[in-house]
Amino acid sequence: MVEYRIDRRSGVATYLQIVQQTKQALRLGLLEPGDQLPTAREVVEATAINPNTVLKAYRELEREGLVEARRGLGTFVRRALGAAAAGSPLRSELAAWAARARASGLDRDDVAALFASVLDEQFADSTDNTEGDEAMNKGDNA
Amino acid sequence: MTDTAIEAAALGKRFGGPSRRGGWALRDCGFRLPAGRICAVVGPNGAGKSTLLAHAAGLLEPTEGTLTVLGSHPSAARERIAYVAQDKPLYPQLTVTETLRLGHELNPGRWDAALAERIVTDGHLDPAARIRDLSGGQRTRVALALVLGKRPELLLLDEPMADLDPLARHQLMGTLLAEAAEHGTTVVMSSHILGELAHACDFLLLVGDGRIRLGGAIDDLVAAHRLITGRGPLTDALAPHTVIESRATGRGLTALIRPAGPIAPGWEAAEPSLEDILLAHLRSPDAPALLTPGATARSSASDMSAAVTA
Amino acid sequence: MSASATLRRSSGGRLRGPYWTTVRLHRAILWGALGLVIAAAVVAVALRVSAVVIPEQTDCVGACTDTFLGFDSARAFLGITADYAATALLFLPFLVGAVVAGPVIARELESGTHRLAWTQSASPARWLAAKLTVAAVATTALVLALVGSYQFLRAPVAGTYNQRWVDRGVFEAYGPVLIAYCLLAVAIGALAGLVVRRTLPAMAIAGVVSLSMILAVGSVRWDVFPVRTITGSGTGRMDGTMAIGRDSFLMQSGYVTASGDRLPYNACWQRTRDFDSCPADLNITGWYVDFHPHTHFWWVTFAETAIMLALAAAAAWAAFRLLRRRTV
Repeated sequence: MVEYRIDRRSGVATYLQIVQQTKQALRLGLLEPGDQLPTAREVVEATAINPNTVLKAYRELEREGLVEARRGLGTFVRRALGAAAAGSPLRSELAAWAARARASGLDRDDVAALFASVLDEQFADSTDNTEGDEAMNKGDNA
Repeated sequence: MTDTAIEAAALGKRFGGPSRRGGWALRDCGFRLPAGRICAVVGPNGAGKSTLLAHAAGLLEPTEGTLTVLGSHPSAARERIAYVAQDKPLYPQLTVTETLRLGHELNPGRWDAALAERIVTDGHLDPAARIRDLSGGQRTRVALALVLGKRPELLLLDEPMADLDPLARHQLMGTLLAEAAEHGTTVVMSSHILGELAHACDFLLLVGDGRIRLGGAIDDLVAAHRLITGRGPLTDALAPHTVIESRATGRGLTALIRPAGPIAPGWEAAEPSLEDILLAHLRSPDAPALLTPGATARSSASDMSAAVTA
Repeated sequence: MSASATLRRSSGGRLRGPYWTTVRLHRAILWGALGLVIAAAVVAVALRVSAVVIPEQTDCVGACTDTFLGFDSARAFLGITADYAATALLFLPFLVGAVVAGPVIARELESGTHRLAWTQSASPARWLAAKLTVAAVATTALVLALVGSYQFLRAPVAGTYNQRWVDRGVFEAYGPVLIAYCLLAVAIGALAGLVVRRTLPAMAIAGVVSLSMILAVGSVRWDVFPVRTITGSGTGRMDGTMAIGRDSFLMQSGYVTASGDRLPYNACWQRTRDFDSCPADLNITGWYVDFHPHTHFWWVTFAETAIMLALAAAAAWAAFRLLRRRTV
């Protein structure tokens, strides 16, 4: 069972933190297909965040095909995320790039800013935006 | 069951006699809170938050205007509403157990004894301890046990977490929201600071000077504002939009606006945080009010008076 | 079953809802009332027993030596206690009104616990109804118990000076009248508590108003209720006062003139220093006596009880109305 840690000062929307942490757990193999995600009630009780936020995150994961909600049972993992795991070629390329950046005199913050700006550029079209959808019932996924 | 938890139309409350000048705690207050929301009522001290909650709890009669709760007059919805006043009133001479028995006796047929006892037990309270011997935080816990045990459809909490240490605050808020998630309870919490409420709530009412200055789903309110930064001439860039606040930053300008059309090129627009929006509105008391469509009162006055007399 | 067992059983087992709440919240006051009842009963029994066990000294010449706690006798002490007890009972409405106004009603409004009580499923009207009912039942039981002890205490001195049926305190302490005044005090207390909303001022106002009622009405009671009059011919005024009997209460007596006017009882005495010889110029044709026969006891008891209960109902109605305006 995955346990979400909400960073209230990160500036990242709370539902996105849940989405990202779920994906991270899928990448690292902490969650596998068939596993159940914690119920909205359990997440809310542990994190004291809004129930609708949890449901919004789960809907987003469902939309991406990663999980599925089974009525009355809970939310279950449908497929794993296997890319970019530790030891993949992409990771070693990135490690080599980071070493060069450091050697050229950039400090940690410079590297992070550079990386973030490239990410923004490359993934500009995939910004998640799932607004609205008022007609949900909090009771359903609980 | 109605889809509206609270609806106010032209609600006004004046304390003291009519001769006293400026005694309005609420004036021309209108909004709609959909059912199932976790709503934060924020605003500076003395803005009218407590007065608003007391009206919804059926403890005050409006001087003018109307307020319906769960589709009916507050007094008709008494069984389905629970309310904790700011000072957490409890009977000092009762023990914790007796206080929960009181909840059972005064709410027959609704009372969830197991839930109320669990909330008390989670705080390691001695059931035989008298209320007068409890700390402020322990008293808050008993008060919350009392209202959650009632299993209300609408839970009204006036500054609920002020007396709690961070751990108890987190735990009780978790319990509260979990119950709300399971039963679809509408929760209204007031606070003069947003703080942790920001993550717990999905609906916001900003009260200022007895009026609703902002009302709506938090996502909608955030989407309705933009934080723009740039160096161009002020008037051209901002002309079509509603400017809440603008401030010089270095050589440029940062402004919180409600966009009414495309933003002029050369200006960088970002999504503001809820805190940005609140602070800008608090610093600009004259900014026009904004109620999102979902937060606007729908009933006509005649519908409301029918509900009152029913 | 003892009264304490009754209290414990009813607060533990049978009471429900706002009635349980009210009894539990005001348990200390109810125990206090029970203590008062027990103390009164103990004093009454002790004095009655003493009056029997320690007889009066009748064989002493001149001043008798003190025989009982500095009093002439145990019976004399009993008589004095009965006199004071009758007066003390007149203060019961003060006590009842103050307790209901302050600790029972106003303290809730002052400390803010009414916001807890009025937002439960049981409505504010039921909250007030439970408070009034519990207060009324407890008050009735308290008055009955104290009146019972008092009647037991005064039995040996009943009818003596200060212990006649018309006397202040004695009249009320036969039961119904005092109960009615105390129930009126309950309603006045509730109304004062809701109006004033502060414990001590509410206690003072309700106590003083309740006490004023019983004292004021008591001072005009026999003047207001219509007297019975007997008349006779001649100047033998004293014959009339003798004729009304020991059980009756003489209000006024005097002479009647030929023109029908009434003259005071001492009209002749002032002129002749003799009650029975009257100067001819007064034209006295007979005498009159205004009095209350003992049967008036029942009429006045009934009338006064009814009036006070009606006033109590009116005050209670006003309290409910005020509460309804206060909440929604």
